[in-house]
Amino acid sequence: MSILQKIFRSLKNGHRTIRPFACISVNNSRGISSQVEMNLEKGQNLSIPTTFPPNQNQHEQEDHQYEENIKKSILENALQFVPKSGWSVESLSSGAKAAGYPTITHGLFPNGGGDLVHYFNVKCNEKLVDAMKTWPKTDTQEKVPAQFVENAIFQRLIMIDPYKTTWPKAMAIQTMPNNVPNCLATLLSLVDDICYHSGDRSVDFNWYVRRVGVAGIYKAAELFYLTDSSQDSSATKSFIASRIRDAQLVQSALNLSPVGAAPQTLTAAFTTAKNILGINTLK
Amino acid sequence: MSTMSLRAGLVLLSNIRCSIRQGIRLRALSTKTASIDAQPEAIKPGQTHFGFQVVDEEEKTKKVHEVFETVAEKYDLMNDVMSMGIHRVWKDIFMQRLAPRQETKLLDMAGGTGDIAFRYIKYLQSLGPAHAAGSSVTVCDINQAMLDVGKQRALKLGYTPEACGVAIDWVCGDAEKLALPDDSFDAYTIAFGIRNCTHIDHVLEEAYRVLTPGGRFMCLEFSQLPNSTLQWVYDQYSFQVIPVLGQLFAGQWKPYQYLVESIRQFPNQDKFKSMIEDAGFRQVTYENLTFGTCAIHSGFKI
Repeated sequence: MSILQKIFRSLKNGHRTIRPFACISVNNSRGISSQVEMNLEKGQNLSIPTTFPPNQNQHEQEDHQYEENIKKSILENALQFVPKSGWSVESLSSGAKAAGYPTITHGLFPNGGGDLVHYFNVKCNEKLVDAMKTWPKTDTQEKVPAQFVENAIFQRLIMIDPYKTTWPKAMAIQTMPNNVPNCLATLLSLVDDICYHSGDRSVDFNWYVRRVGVAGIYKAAELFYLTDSSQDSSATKSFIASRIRDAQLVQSALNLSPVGAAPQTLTAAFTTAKNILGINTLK
Repeated sequence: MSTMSLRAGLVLLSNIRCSIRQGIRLRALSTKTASIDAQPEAIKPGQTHFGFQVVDEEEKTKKVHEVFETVAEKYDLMNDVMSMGIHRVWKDIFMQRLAPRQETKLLDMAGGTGDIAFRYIKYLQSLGPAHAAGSSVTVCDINQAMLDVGKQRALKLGYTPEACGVAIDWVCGDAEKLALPDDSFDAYTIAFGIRNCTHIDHVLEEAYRVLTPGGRFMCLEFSQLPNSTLQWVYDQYSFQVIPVLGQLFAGQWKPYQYLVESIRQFPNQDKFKSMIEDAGFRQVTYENLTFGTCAIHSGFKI
């Protein structure tokens, strides 16, 4: 890893607000991953020359790590109460109690259920990344790694399964204004991970097109999955497959027309305009 | 144009008033301690602020005690009059942020008249009957007169342990030296009280001591407005109107003069935040209410 990349990463750690955007531009397989993982990297950064005093930084980092660990244990414990009490403060306070703290400690999460949903999303994204790393590499010659993307999206969706009954509420919580930034960041990191691991190394406009496309398919499939009662969610699987086919069709149509057909289209438009104005010189 | 000149006139007037007040203060101090004549704001070891005055530390405790003894009966009425009822909203928001759940043991420091304690009980009751069970609140105040008012109100409102399921204890004690065991409370609240304590750092350390690991410290206190125009408006109201209201409704000028002066002496949001952090609390945050007239500070013992 080059020094430049390391500096980028440490910048990202330092500025939480720009992290969602920073993680897009850097060629990063992890996107917005957990604090723990980030901090390990931050620890490594200490070996390279930095402008700030390393001792103080290390101390702050340990403090931060300590607080994050406590938060994580409460959130982890809270998840088991979700099927019963939903994505709520109720679950968080039960989780705090299960983690050995008083129920009032739920105040560590001022967004309440929103923070719990965010934690769950980040956790699932990480799990998916770990899984994707073990999958066989797809043939890079293939234009669109349809099978890989389909599997990834499906894998991610069935992680919701234990909380399927409460998931519509979670989706509603994610659309609340104060939760939207977090929600978009996790969605972006998810599609970024999928695209990266499926072999996308584009640096042109396609980079955006692919990610927006996958995000759209994922969100549509998520909605479909909520009402899918088929065996092993096979209907969802075929839904994803057909959405990817659609995307491929659209892409091939786009690739075909604009550049190749531009001169003809322009000439035709020009001739029509001339005809309308009555100045057609061919007569 | 006319508003400009009006404002300039008002500033001039207030300047005159200030200088007069300064003169009075200097004279008042010169009778007590001749040495601080030249620098009225300088604080020596063993001294502290009482409003804008500089007094010995024991004297502040005594003076604060006197102030609250004299205002206890009219305290709730005066809160309504001076804040135009907004203090109720602030306290409601405060309780919303604390969001207590079942089996919470709350220590409400400086909560003599029970404003926070009653809101706490109400909040638990609103969650359902199961939540109130196992919870308790200990109201602690340095002033017995204030506690007596609180007890009366509790009786009147029907907040007995049998009726509401939440046990209320009334304890008379000093926030700087609590006679309570370590790690015995889940939450510590102090609303409009910490300003009157002589050693804020001692209060915070005691709060840290009595809280269990994971416990939450929450403080509601007057603070400073980040916007200078608003601060000017607020200053005018505080210095010109509040003492007059005190005289009119409670027949007292001085306690209310002290009230507004002590608000100005209290550290601002960020300073107070770092004080809380110095006491050992983590995840310290604050939230401004009504442009920063008040601020809710929160920290965790984790």
